[in-house]
Amino acid sequence: MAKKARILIVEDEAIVAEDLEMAVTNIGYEVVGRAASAKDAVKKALEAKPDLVLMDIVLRGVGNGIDASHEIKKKMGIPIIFLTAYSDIELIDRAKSTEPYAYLVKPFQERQLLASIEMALYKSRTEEALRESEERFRTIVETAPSLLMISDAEGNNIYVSPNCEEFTGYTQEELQGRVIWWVHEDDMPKADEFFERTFRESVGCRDFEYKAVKKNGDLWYASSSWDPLRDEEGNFKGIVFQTIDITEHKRAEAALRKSEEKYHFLADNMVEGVWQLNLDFEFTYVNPSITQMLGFTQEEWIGSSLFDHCSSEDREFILNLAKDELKKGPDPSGETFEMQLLHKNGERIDVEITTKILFDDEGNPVGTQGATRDITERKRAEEKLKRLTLSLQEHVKELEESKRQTAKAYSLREYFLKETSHRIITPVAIIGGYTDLLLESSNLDDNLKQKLRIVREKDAEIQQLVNDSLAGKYLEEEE
Amino acid sequence: MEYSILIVDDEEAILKLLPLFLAMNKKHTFTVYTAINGAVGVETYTKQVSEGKKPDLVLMDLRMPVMDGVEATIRIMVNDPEANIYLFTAYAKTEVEREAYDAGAKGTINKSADWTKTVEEIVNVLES
Repeated sequence: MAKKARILIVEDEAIVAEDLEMAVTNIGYEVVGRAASAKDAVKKALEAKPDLVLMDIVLRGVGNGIDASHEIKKKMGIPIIFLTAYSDIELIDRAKSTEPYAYLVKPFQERQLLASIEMALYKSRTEEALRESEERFRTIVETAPSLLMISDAEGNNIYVSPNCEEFTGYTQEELQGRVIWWVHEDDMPKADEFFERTFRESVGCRDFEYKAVKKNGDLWYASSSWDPLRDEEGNFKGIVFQTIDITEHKRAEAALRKSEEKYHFLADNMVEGVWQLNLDFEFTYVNPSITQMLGFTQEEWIGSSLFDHCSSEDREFILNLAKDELKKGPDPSGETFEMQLLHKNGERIDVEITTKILFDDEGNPVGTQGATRDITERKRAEEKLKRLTLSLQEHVKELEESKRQTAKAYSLREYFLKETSHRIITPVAIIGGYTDLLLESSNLDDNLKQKLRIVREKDAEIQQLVNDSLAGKYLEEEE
Repeated sequence: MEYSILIVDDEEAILKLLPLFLAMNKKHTFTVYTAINGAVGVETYTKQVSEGKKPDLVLMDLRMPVMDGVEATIRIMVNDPEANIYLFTAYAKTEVEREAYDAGAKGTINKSADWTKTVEEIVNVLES
């Protein structure tokens, strides 16, 4: 024994008390006091704080040893051993109510005393340890975020953690009645099935998620797990329930599901082929459009390598591109390029691909996603446009040639016109000159002058015509 | 004023008509020398210059036998860069006309059925 146990002796007969003290000291304990009455016993116990009390049941004065024991028990948890004469045997039944640690019937021997004291001290220490452990356990339970309940084998709750009341609004008493009071009626059939099975087969359950309702009618989502409790023989004694609030989690999940559905709806209904690759260039997702584009079914796509679908030259190109893109790190812009993919029938299909490497939150690459457009039509249109442009250029060339020919023809005509006009102007000038001279002379009669004026007029008309033609007027008009 | 004009044209009627209409002008008197082609024109001009009677104006037709107006213009300008040569032709912006301008011809007086107008143009050139 590390430390001498300290003992209070309560005995109204001085000689007996003396004997007892001697015996106790003899067997190695320390006596911290002696009391002769119930009142004195309580007072001394409180003062000396002994580890154990040896209590005579029959005491002089007001109150007996049983009364004193009640008083001491109320104030401190120390073991008490009753000492009694054989004749007091009916008192022992009364003494039981104070949960004494032992009875010693007088007269007793030292070794009996030693055994009783040791037993009582041991029992007391064990109880103390148990109480401390229970206290610790309670603290853990009552500060844990999960709602905790313990039910007996019939399904009545025998323990409900305080946060159950705080969280659900139901009182401890309301929750006492049945295992999980707060299950929403929608999920009640399923819950009943689970509980019934638990009680029937005494098996636990993990993460049962269900709709729940608080006392004020608010909905919440719960996840409960439970395990059966068994005694040492393995008999089913009850269940420990643990419940957590997963409302936020459910909400986030629903939001995610909704956004995923939206994404899938978009992807599934897009004309463009949409796909995802893992880091080994294997397809992990393709939308229906890509199956139409290239003939393979969705099942054939999933798990197949990108390189099964392209030529070996394009394989090199893709590997280099992936290397460059990986170097860039998370880049929202991605890359767009043209290549050819193989149709199931062996045909090469011209496609335009927009792709982006996917990175996780830590910046590690996790895969690639992209969109593929069939650009056969576009290529065809480009081809057609090229052909059209070429033929247009031909046409323009022909036109230009024809224009040159026309221009040449024109300039020949122009030359001819100008040449002719030029040659005409001299005779016109001469006729005009002489006519004017004749009109000036006085010896011509008026009739003749009248006719000469007509000649002069016509000559002027010719001159006008020639001047106009020399100015290119008729050429322009013809153009 | 008294002006001297050399007219170079292969058409004899032109050579006769111009002096007649010039004579009708009341403001000025004209001495007219005529030449039947470019070669004669150059010869006449040179002779006049050597006699100290350089023509105030040369009217030069373009198309002429023996020597055309462009060559005659060039030859006269070589001897006398100050020569006052006008083309006497129909209105036309032809290559030949441009060549003559390049050679030194100062402008064009248009041949016309209306000689009075032609004389007015000549007087304008001489007075300017």
